[in-house]
Amino acid sequence: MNVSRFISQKSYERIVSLVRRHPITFVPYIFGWLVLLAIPVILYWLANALFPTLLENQIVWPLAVLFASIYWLSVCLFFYSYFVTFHLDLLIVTNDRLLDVEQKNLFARTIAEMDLYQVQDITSTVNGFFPSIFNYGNVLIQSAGAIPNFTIHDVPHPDKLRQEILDLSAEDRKYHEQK
Amino acid sequence: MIAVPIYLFLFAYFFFLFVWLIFMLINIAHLVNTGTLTFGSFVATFTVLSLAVIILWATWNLLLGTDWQQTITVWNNSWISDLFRLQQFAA
Repeated sequence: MNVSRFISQKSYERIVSLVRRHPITFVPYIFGWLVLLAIPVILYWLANALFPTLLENQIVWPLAVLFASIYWLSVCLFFYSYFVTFHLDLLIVTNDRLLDVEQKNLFARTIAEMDLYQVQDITSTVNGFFPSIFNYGNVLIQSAGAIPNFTIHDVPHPDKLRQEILDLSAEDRKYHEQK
Repeated sequence: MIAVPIYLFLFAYFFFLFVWLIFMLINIAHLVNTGTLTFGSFVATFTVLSLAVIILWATWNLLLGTDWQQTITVWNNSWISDLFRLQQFAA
């Protein structure tokens, strides 16, 4: 299955771009993941230092290994689930509409849609130290349609995206006026 | 006194592995079904699966030679009776 089927792409529709949050916004989670992975190692070191004979016990050792294994596998699973949520949170720009796919968690997703010809105003903001350095920010799209506002968070090159959507919107508006 | 063999913990671990595998498959299915397989998703999947294999391999190796018939006491009445005895002693 590809994105075309996922969004029920129309016959005349062309996917212009897929926009995700800037990868740099995922880096803090990688650091958090590494810290969580290190906790059993620290506990092992502490247990060896404070209670040197504890882990030599024939019952404590296998239980400690099983517990550590469960902990590490769980941390990996939570990290991967978060990555999938992050990865599936995307804006699909076509020559006809904007689709905001928001993956809230593993079992909850919302897809909001906005016709390009209904776009009224677009504002892009880059706010903060890291957003300024890595050039990412928010894009607020206002429309005359059923969904009045659309905010896309932490997208790379927000000014470029704003211009791209404005150009596509102008093209789509011309097409709808001719009809 | 209630004592249970430690292989019960091993069974609980296998049950955890089963649930873990289901959730991993759901995650991968999400990526495949939405058609959003990219280099980034490949790297994340490869990293997590590699790490999981290393964890399982290490667990297997560290538990080799374990006597799973050993029992662990999960409840002993003397824990409570000793407690009262200690209180009497303190009084």
